[in-house]
Amino acid sequence: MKVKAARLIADRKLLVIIIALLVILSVADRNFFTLQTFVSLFDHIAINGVMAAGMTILLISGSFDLSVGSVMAVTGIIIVLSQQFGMLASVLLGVAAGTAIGALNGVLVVKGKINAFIVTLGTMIIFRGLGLVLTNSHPVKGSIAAFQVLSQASFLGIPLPVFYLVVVYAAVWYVLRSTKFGRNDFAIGGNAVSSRLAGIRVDLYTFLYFVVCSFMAALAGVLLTSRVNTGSAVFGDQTPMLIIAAAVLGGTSLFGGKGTVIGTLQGVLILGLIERAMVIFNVNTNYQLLVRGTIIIAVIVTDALTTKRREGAAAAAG
Amino acid sequence: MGDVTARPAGAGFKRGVVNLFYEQTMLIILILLAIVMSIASKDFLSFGNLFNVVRQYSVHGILACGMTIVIIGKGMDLSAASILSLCAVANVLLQPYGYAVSIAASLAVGVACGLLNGYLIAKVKANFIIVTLGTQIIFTGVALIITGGMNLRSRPEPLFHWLGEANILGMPALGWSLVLIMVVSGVLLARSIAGRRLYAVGLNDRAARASGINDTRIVLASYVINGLICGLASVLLTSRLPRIRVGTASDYLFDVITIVVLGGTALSGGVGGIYRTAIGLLIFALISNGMALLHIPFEYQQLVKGIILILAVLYDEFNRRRRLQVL
Repeated sequence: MKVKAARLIADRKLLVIIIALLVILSVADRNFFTLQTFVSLFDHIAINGVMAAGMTILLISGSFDLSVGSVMAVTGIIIVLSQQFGMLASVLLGVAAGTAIGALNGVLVVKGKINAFIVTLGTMIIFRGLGLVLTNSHPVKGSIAAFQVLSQASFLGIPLPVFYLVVVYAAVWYVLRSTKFGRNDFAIGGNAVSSRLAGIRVDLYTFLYFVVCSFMAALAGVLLTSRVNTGSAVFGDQTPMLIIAAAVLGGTSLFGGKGTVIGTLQGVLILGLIERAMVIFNVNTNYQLLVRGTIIIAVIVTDALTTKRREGAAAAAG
Repeated sequence: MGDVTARPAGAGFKRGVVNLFYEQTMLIILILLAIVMSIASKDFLSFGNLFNVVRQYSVHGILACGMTIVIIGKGMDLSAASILSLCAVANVLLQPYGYAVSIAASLAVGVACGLLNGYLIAKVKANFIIVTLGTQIIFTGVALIITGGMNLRSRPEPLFHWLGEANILGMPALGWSLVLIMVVSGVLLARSIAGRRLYAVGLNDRAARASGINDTRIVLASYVINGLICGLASVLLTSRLPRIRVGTASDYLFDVITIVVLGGTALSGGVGGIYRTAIGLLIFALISNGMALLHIPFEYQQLVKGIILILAVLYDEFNRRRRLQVL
């Protein structure tokens, strides 16, 4: 009975954390526990949430991408700079540019056979540099008012980004669960060599996962640009770490082959609640940095410890 | 020096030349670059410019020594620049108590940071990229908390300040410090038992463990030494720059990684050495200095550096496959 209860809590540890955070925040702030707060919370995590969904797909295949922040920034800059061609054209151009960065990452990893980390570190620097070149190191302001509706309007009292978030997570959940694209993702992350021997086109799919990850980051860039109506090369310089932490917190393993998009959503929610808590408790920005770093370390250490224990158990059994 | 390179058995003269070309590509590029630069810019070969280059890039070079050690052990320290920041803050804050105390504090902070990284990576076996990205944020956060986000004024004692400005035998003292640290770390890597073990662990940690090497301790030590070197670099940094702003140091990180990879130390671990890093440093310094002399805007310089990093990595991978073929 006791063991069962412990297992139940262990399996639902993310929900336990979320509930604990909600309780703390409700006690600290009388006005916190309202429907309005929850809606605005989801509205806030929409941008990171969309990126984290794409990152989850890539992490499951055993790769990862540090350039998503730069992809987001470049997408925004290109949207703002090309608004003279009309709203639709500018958005398409921005998303295409962002996705192209993912294609470049994919080609360098698959064809160049370079470590994903160093490729995306390089493209992160290059495209942040490109952003600086395009904007002359100054933020650029958008000129189309209608573009802001995309993220600032509401439907039935719920902001549009919440709907985007739901649609993206539903789509990714379905794709990972019930399509060849999703099953190959887990197979490649689990064991790339045996996947190749089983006839999966590992290179092609790895390339596609990079493209999808950047595509999602570009979508996040559209949302962000529409929200702040500005493009800047410095946007998103810490997001890669936070998003990877959210996914790993949600149970996706950095070693590949394991992860769920629902877990990632919970991870993003937890990080969102912590950010909110830091605002409510009036935490100094420098301490916020410390808190974020500590969370990342705590998450990664837990991931490593549980993986090690599982491997130890497997070795003992085998 | 300190290289694990395959020599084909019974290679003919032509093959030897080709091999030499591939192994020393970066040296050849360096020489060509120096020739082109001295033709393109009259200022380049002047002593004033060369000494400026030495002063400007000696901190890069010292950090690159530590990074080389970590990368040979199949790791990477993305928090190096933040450790540098934190050590510099400790140094400046303790300067009123005398420079012996402030230097000791820098080194102690560096070792402590390296110990934290090394423990999490070697003992806990957490992914080194995410660990050092996380500690990067933590160290910067701590430095910002201590300084309250303000700039610090470094008021080094005369002797200390002299270190940053003086010339000995016609070369800046900073340059001599760089040479000294390079020689010590190079000898450690190539000639000491621990250094050879680090290469073995970087090449194949399982095989190293099977042959009785305590790989956990070796990897842990590599991060601690890197922390110590960051502490040393901070001492030199504070002796040269009067104002320390936390956050500026982050520019160092990508430059340092680029320098190490450019020299030919493989990110896959177990291949490389300080001699290669020295060549990487010179190429990097020449290109950066060249771009500055040619008045290329800062934004484009960043772009060029990113592209150099990618090209260097591509070449590294090409060379790795070539070595495997020769074997």
